[in-house]
Amino acid sequence: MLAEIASVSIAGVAIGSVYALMALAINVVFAARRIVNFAQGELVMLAGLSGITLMTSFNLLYLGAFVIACAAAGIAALAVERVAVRPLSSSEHDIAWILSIVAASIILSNLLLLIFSTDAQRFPSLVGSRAMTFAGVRYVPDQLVAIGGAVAAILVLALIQERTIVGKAMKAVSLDPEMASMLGISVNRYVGGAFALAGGMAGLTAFLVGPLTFVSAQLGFSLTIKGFAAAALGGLGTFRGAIAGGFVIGLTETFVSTYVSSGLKDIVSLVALCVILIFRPYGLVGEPKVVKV
Amino acid sequence: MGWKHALRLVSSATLISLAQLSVACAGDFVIGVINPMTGPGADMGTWARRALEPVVTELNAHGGINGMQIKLIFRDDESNPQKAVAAVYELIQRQRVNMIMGAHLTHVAAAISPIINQAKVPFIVFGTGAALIDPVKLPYSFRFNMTTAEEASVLVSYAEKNGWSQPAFLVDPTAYGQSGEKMLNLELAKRNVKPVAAETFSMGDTDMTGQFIALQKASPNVLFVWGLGTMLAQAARSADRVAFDKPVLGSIGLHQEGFVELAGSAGKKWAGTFFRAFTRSENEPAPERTRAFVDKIAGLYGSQLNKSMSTIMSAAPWDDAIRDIVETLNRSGAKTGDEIKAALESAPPFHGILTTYTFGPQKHDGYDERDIAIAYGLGVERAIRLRVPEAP
Repeated sequence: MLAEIASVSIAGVAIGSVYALMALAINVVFAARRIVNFAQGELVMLAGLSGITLMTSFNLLYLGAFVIACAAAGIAALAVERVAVRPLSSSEHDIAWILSIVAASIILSNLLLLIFSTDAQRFPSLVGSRAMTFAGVRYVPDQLVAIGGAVAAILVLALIQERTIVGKAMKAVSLDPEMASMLGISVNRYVGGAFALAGGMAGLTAFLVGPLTFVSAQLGFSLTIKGFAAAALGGLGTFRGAIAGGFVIGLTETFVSTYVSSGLKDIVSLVALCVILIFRPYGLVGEPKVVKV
Repeated sequence: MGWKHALRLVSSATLISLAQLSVACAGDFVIGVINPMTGPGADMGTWARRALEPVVTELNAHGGINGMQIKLIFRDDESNPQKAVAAVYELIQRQRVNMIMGAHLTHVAAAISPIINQAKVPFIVFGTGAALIDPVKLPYSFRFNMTTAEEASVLVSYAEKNGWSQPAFLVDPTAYGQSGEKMLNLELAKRNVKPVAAETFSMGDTDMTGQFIALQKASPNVLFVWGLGTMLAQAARSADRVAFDKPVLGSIGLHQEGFVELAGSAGKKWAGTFFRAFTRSENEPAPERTRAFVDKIAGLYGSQLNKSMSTIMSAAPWDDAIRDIVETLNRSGAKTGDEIKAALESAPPFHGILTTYTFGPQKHDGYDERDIAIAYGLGVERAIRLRVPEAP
């Protein structure tokens, strides 16, 4: 029984890692511009499909394909920011950005369909996709890579945010863009940087989730929804919240489908999200926003 | 009540005009072909087109239908019911087609069947879902393909013969998956058997480890799966992760390119229903007629043939269907929707590559269940699938 729970936990944490990375990328953009990047899933698929093409058609090595795919997703993210976000008002009450980003996401998705076709494609595995057993616990090496990769990315991101000038500047832009601008920080540049970073994270997500499943131009939207749910559950805009939200949703889905019913897994995680947002609108880890008047 | 009355009037007027528009245009016999050219069912639509075009060229060279040339108008439904509905309206209202063929995907076919039937346009459907054929509700729909009910019957009989009395299900939530589950349940109920577990998967599921651990705990001795090839490949890989080792039987989706390309060795022992004519046992070769068809397709599209040769499951029914229709319409001289319907209902049996098709006023499903076999999805040979060992 313990071995079984451990196997389920590994599967849940692996998929939770992917959701956490999605949520973190959504949070990076949210922190910089107070908007949700609904095109994040499409960026992941762009990176994944580019990666496969580079490895299979151009015989590029895994690392080379990874770097180029991350760069491609980063450039696409910058384009989304430049075309769909920057021209719009930055007022918190302005919702034009929702339409604008959703439109960008649809355009990106259709471009992927045109370029890469709708066929789902198998993503090469770096360490092997065959299941293995250790002390009765079943796991796939790809799952461990997904967990390790996500943890490494989280640590690097935390270091950037806490220990570098760039990270601190991004935090300043997030807290008060006007004040940051008065202090000489180029807000537009940092917002663009946040999008590019989210694009790079999309590349990493693609290379971690790809071997666990497959990549297809049509899978982006469902990943975005899961990432957004994870970010909202943990507390939109909070670093720790995104991580917590991702793992909570990944584990909930896996445990519900194992011990309750697979038909209920999405319902349970989304109902949990609703309940938490009713009682803690600022999410599991977020803090209530206090405005002094 | 006023608006309801007005709505009825508008609906009636629309339907009458659609019915009038369906009358054949002079010169050509126009067939609208609606199929997935992109999306999860793209391989079926692509190969249906590749099968249909050379046959129509050949038939046109022999006089077409009653002296009219057959004209094909292709529309991509993108594996999406909404896109299919829009395409159907365009085919009926603008192109004024004499007949519509296609809709390999059940959920797409379910969305367009009522519209086509209300317009009294004969509809040759290839989706396998049970509800797609009903001579009373959908009098203009005819099917040249095996049905979900027939597939379920063959699969459950095979499990029964092997003594597998504790089945479990894993199905997708679309009309296709649900139709499969319903038919499997009906077949099991005839034998007083209930599934020990029933799990589902969603199109966006990245991992099904949970489902397979739950299935393992229920201790089934056979697992029935129903869904499209791509998602079944994902299921096979998840099954491999938890060392699920029970026999897995499923729908024809296990022969789709998506399954063969993505499942890898994890799907090696998964077997699905297939056209018996395109299968062989360890010792018995496939029929000569089948070989000739495969050679013909290979001769035309050799460089484009895919590994899975799911080509066959798409191409062969279309070849059979268009030849049967042309033969029937040439014999009867039928032109309008009602005449074509009557001609197909009274046509003698047609001996196709896959089966002998027979239709009647109460029988709009032409395929013979005896021509369904169970074969491994990952074939050892390019076009011909290996049948599972005979049940004791």
